[in-house]
Amino acid sequence: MSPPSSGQAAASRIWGRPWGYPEGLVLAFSALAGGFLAEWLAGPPPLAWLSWPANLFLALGLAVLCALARPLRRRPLARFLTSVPLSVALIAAMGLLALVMGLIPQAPAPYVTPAGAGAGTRLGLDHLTSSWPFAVLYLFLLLSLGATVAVRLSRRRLVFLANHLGLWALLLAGGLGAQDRLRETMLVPEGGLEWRSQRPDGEIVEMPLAIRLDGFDIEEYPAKLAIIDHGTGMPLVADGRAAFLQLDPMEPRGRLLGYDVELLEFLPGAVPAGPEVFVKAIARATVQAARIAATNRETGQRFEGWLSTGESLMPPRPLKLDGGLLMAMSRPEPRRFVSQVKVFTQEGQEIESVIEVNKPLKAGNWLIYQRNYDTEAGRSSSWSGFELVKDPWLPMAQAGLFVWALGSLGLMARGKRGRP
Amino acid sequence: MSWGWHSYLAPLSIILWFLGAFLALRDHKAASLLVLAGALVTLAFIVGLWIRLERPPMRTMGETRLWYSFFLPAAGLLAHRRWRYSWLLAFTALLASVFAIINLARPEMHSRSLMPALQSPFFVPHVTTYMLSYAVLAASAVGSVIQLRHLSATGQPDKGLYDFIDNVVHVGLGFLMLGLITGAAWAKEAWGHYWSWDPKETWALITLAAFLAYLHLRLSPSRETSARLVLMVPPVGLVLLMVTWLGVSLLPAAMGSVHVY
Repeated sequence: MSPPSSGQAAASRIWGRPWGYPEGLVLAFSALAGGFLAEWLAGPPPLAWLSWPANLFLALGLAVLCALARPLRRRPLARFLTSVPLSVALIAAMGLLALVMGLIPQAPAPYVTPAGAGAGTRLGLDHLTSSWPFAVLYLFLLLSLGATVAVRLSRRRLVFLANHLGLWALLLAGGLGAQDRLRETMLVPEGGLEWRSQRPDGEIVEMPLAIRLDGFDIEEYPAKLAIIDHGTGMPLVADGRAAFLQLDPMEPRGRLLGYDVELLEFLPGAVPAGPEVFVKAIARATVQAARIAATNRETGQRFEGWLSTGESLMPPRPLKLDGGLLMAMSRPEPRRFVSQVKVFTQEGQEIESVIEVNKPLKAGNWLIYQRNYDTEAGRSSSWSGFELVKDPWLPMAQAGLFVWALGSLGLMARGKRGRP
Repeated sequence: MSWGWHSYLAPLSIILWFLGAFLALRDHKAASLLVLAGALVTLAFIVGLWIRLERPPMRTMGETRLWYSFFLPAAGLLAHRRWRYSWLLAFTALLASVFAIINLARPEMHSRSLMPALQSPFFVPHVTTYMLSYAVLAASAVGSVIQLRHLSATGQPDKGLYDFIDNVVHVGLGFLMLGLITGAAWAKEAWGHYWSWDPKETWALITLAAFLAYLHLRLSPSRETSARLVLMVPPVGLVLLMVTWLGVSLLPAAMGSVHVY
């Protein structure tokens, strides 16, 4: 098995057949330059036009073009399209675009050109994924990759096929499917029912499903201790970062800046019972409370007392130290937040379930994600935020990812030795 | 085992690695044993920390540096068994020491918290495959530099060394792609989409492009692709990789990245 084309027999003059690295680089970067010119002259491509079913037709057309390369594989053009030099040129051009994206902050899609834009914006440099150069290169890459798969389709090249076909399917579904992908957000009050999505621009959209929030729970990690300058209200720093000590009942002794700290008692859910005491409580509005002994390592002076985190109606309670310093508990970080919901779809389906981060709920064509909550209120948040995502091209992307994963395993297992 | 133990165990690993590197450069048989012992001490600390924190120690930069300083000598040992390159064993042991020293100079604060988005079955495979690929691809870059020097000195490439570099790039690229794929699968579960052009993702793609280019360039060597130019690609790839791992959070494009930690 020999590569369909290589530079080995390349003529010394450019454009002499068969085409090799010089021609590949010239073509890939001409495509890129053409894209930049189009962007400069005409502005970003009308991507909204590329939604269902236009993107399906484009995908099918592309697949047919790629497949055509197989019967035409002896023709110079098909040989060049599926050659190693062109693939290297396209990888280099794509890598260059990614490098620009990695250095210049990108505006979110869908992109609208602001009035009076500078040269960089007119070239598309701050919105590359919605620009002509990216679109042109993307189609060129899909064509070359797909044609290479078609030409070299063979049971003896399973690792090659898994890598290239998987990537092709993933790129096709991810790129051409982009306009069909919908993301909506819903804020649902506890006990309430919501069927409208609020878009970032303030537009309210009715959704084909409704969510009822039956309950919302947060589990927290123990808070951290910090030392605050009473005068400025700012935490003291060490090595440029706010210094903190993680409260940890398993490790009750620690050190924070100039103080030895001992955790005498820790209540993850507590309410104040008097000016100096906290008691364990099971209620909606509880705080974390800790009885701490802090000893100044220089003077040996010891400070002891209860500290607590804050809650909407309870201010946090610090411990007074010497030298105008306070020891305080930080806002606890969530370990887990869970919404108990009932989802009603337009088709009459009713789903009772829980939704939490990393565990989205599937309802019809939509995936419902736990997004956020009222972080100011913390445990007593009265609403839960959801993100609803619909992506009809997802199965193809997932299949592509899976096949590509098999390909990368094959690449590792075989190394280079499998090659003739 | 809390982070406090690191100030005792890391110097032990570093001493073992320095001795191992010294002996490796003299082709002494005990070299790999010493490097292995250093790696095992680091592994013991990682396991102890994992148990102590009740979460995989992969959340912070310092924690990922721990894994890197374990995987580097591990990759070096495996490659040494297969290819018998003692410079490689010495290099991985010394580089692992560098990262252990960085961790000694900038100790992590003890924190058990792991934000909900990170509590995923993809967390461990995502970070470990990336750290493994970083370790393996670093070896390919050093191999390329040695090959470049060999070319300058003799005018002829060392064929065995080419086999080594190419094989290592295959393995490293496989891990790099698996890291990206597990990241995509995880992102779909946690953030709703498998690819968001997060700056870390973009830089991972740039790194991937560099090593993909090397792999394809080596498929079709020709007069037009000078051997020197091709051998420059893995070292450049290593630089891009370091930007991806350590440098992204410093870039203006990284505002709002989910990967800044």
